Amino acid sequence: MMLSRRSLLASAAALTLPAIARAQGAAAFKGQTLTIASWQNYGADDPGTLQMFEQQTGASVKQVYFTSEDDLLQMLRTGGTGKIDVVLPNLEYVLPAARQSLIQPIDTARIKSWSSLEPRFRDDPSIRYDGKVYAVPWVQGATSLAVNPAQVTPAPTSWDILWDPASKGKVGFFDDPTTAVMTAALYLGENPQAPDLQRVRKALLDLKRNVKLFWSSADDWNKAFLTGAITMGNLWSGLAGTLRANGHAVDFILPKEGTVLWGDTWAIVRDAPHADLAYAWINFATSTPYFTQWITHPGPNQELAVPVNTDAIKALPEAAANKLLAGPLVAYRGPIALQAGIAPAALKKWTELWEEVKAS
Amino acid sequence: MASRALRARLTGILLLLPAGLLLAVMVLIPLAVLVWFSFAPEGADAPLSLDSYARLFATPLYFHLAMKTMLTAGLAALLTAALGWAPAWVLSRLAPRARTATLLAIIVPYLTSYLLLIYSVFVILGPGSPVMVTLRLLGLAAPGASILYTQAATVVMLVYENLPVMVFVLFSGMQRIDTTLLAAAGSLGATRWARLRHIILPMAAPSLVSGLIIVFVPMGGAFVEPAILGGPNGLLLGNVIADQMTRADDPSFGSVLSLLLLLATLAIVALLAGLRPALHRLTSRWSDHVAPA
Repeated sequence: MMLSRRSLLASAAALTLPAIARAQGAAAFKGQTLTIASWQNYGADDPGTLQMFEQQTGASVKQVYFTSEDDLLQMLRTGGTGKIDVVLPNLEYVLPAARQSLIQPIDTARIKSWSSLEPRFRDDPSIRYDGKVYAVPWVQGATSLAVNPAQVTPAPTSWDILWDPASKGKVGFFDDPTTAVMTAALYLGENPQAPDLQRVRKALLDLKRNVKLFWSSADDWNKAFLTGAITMGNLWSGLAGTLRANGHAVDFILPKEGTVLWGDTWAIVRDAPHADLAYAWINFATSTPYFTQWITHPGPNQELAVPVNTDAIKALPEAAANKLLAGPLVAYRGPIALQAGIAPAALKKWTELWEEVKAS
Repeated sequence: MASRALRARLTGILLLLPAGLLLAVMVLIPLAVLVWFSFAPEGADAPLSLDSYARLFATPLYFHLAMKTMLTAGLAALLTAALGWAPAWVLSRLAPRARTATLLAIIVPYLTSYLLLIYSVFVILGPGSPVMVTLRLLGLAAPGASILYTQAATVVMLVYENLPVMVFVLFSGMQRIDTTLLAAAGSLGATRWARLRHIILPMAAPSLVSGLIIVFVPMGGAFVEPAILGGPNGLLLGNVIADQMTRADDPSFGSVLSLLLLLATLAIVALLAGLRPALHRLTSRWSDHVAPA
């Protein structure tokens, strides 16, 4: 009897210990305010997960929104460093930010999910500068081939379909220089990071003959695709998943030549006033509980994306994973054009090329 | 006497001062910045260079685009005038109370956000819309066809947006045409056509030219309409400028293209302004010709 009472006490103590630890963690950041710069309605300002973070740390969170990646860099250059703690740059912008020392190196030993991150992101040179890691990959998505299965049969397996003369006037193509050049490079069998721009230009001009619409927002795509004005094109995996979840017929294909992949990352700002809290945020935002809550119970208007943390993907309920097309994306082992690591001078050339193709 | 003249001149200068200052701050300084940007492709700190101009002259692309932009805006402006003429005339002949009500009705689309107007046109012109179905039933369009994502859709949109402005400007000129003048001409045997040619047209010419200029200038700089409705071949100079300023992050080349647009627009406006005396000469020559000796 005594023994059992003692064991009861022991187990009670064991139960309360984590609670005490949590309370101590909460006390550690009590009164601090973490300033996050990110996109609106994109994970960092999701009310459900924010509540979890604030309970865990005792800190509060202040949101700052940027409207483009350039806007983010500009924000950091003009007084953001020393005020903002943690930011969400796209993979393409980690190097420029590191080069201008707008963000600080990250001690990967302090990132709990580091070993669970997909190697194609974790090991990529685009998050490294001067031998140090500057960003923690967070979410990913593909910009790949999408077709209306009722009108495009049999289901294509190659980017060829967009260039096929029979596809004239049926193609919607994403209005973005990097995606355009990389997609054309994949189609041509060129190296997507450094393609022959003469060939790319010709291919994009050929493609333009088939294009009905250069789309730049989900709304652009939906209007044209759902009215049948276009039947195929390149599309964000997230949007394809949302359309399918809403009952629309869309086939999302990762073509044999390869697909364009993007990633968003967390980085800590130089002179961040709350660097430890920033680490706590990154650990939280890349954790399985965070992704499960965010993706299964997102706040209103939240735009979701596929985690880079493989454990988090495995933990997702099937319906939620399907909505994001997480399965095909993670399973995909074909060639990848990662939207990152393009030198500024090359990127400028790509942008000029794309502007000229559109203006021709 | 002299002091009074001096005072009058001083008053004149003082009266012009606020408008002059506003013009300097809002127009001349930004324009100067634009010119400066165009010579600073490497940013404000780097030495000035002609690189952005070299890029413009390296290809005929942007001149073709400027030409296409002016032609599109010109066509849209002429269509707006053609469509606005009759309503403006009817409006100018209405009794004051009916006139106010009609003016209000015309102003409603003008008070609506142009983005909403664009999306409403989107619905009206889309495949399966009433307009396209009617055209198909008349055998004028293939099933599933639509002018969406073509240059024509942009022109339709620009005309629709600017029609109220054109009607207002034409109306303000036409309302000054005395109906008794037309009655007198009629009693002297002038036909409808002769009255239009010798009375209405010369008297409305100044407002017609003003109307054309007022709608042409924003049409020439349009970029939202072609981006949403114009399709891959419908882009205008305004789209390329917007892209350079935002996504391409090249304000220098954007400034060069803006100056190109400015010069092209000024040339057309000068042409239109020159139209007024020409129109006047033309109608008065007709009058001389027709007038009995």
